[in-house]
Amino acid sequence: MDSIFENIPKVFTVLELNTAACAVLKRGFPMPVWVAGEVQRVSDKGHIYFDLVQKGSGGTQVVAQVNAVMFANIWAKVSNKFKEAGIAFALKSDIEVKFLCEVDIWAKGGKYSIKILDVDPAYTLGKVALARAKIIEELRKAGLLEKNKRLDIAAVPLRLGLVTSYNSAAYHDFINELAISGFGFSVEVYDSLMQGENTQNSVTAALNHFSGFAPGELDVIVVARGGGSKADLGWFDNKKIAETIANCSFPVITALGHQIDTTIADLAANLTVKTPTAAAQYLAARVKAFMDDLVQRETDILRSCAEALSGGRVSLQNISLRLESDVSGYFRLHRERLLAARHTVAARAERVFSRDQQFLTAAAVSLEGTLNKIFKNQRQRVQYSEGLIQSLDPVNVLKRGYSVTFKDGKAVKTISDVPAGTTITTMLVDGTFVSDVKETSPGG
Amino acid sequence: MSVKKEIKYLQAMQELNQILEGLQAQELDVDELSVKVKRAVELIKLCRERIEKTELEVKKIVKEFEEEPNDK
Repeated sequence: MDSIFENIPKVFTVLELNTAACAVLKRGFPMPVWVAGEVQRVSDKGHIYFDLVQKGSGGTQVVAQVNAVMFANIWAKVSNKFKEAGIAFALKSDIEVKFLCEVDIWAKGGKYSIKILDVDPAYTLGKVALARAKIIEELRKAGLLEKNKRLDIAAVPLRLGLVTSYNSAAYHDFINELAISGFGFSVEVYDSLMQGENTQNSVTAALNHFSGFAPGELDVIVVARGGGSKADLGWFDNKKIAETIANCSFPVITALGHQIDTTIADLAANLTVKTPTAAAQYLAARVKAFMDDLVQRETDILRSCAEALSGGRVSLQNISLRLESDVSGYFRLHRERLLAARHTVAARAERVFSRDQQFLTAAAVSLEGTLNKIFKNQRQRVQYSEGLIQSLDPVNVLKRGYSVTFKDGKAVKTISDVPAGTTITTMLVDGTFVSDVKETSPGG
Repeated sequence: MSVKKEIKYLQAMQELNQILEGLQAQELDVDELSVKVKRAVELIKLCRERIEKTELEVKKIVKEFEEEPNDK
């Protein structure tokens, strides 16, 4: 060994050395310094331990790292600061944060570390926002922000897959609200971690479990998280969770218990509501809307039915009324026609009768005249005939001195009938005599 | 979760609407009317029973995940 060093009188114990090194370090950093880096390997044991890492330009290679600790009281202060600013912030892996810190050597362990005193919200949020914007853009490009929204939430969403911490306030809020509705919801709860480093694994496992249900076995998946600290909301600014939600085969409703902020998980969900209670109310309202619609349909159907029947009755009534009036009109018309016809017939008959009567009267008169003439004529003719007949009676002729001569019983009408010597009988009016013809001379 | 004869609520609603439209258009004759209305009432009853007459039922699944001891 070099003699120069042999003259150094002081021999340190390890603790003395560490303490001395720490003192030197502190002299070198008399003021706290700002350090920016990526948080990794977060371990929350009341005090939060993590690694602050610097990565290469590629973003994967670790260039340098340092152990960091944030004591519980500091974390409380920082959380409060973010909360007051209305910002969701969780100290979790992969986020880039700017810390105010003291450089320190833990005397006992001899490890160099930084002790966090404060966080710069503006820087941190800028980085968080950038990282967030990058994730959102990636999801958007992959079509994952719209994917789950394309699934229709069932009209009657009664079968639910609930992703939440079993027995948490969120769980009870949700279940109680469903129970109040009185509808027959059926809920399967997947007990999940809703904060901390394992949130991603736990929630994605739960989502995948429900997503594996057969179509028709489940209506909606609800991811519910209670009030809790606002900072813990940051656990849902998670790409994996968002992707899993997007790829779920059922509509996902997120109810992460925040009023203002929207997490990346929310962006990928079908529907986002503020609280688990609101989620249950939404589902119950949807079922109720269906029920109301059902009641409305029922009312409408019964009313329409009644209307159809009464309409039928009215038209039947109308028809029968019209029929009645038509029939009575028909009869009235025909009765009128009959009456008119009767009048016409009677009038015509009367006319005919009176005409015939005149004719008959005239005829009778003329007939009488004619008959009288005929009778008179006949009488005259009879009288004449009588005279004629009387004048022709042989008796009357004989009376007037004429006689009739017979030969052999026959009247002699010509001189040739009585040649000389013929015996003839001559009849006079009062007797006969027989004579013999002596001679004849023709001519009158 | 049971896969019973599932009521297709939307189908039921569509059928109800059809019946209603038929009624409103006064296309149905009276003979058909009673059949249709009976069917409608049946559908409504079925839907309503399914929605209302089942108790809220909750089933728990636990898959343990390691978490930091102090996190809860």
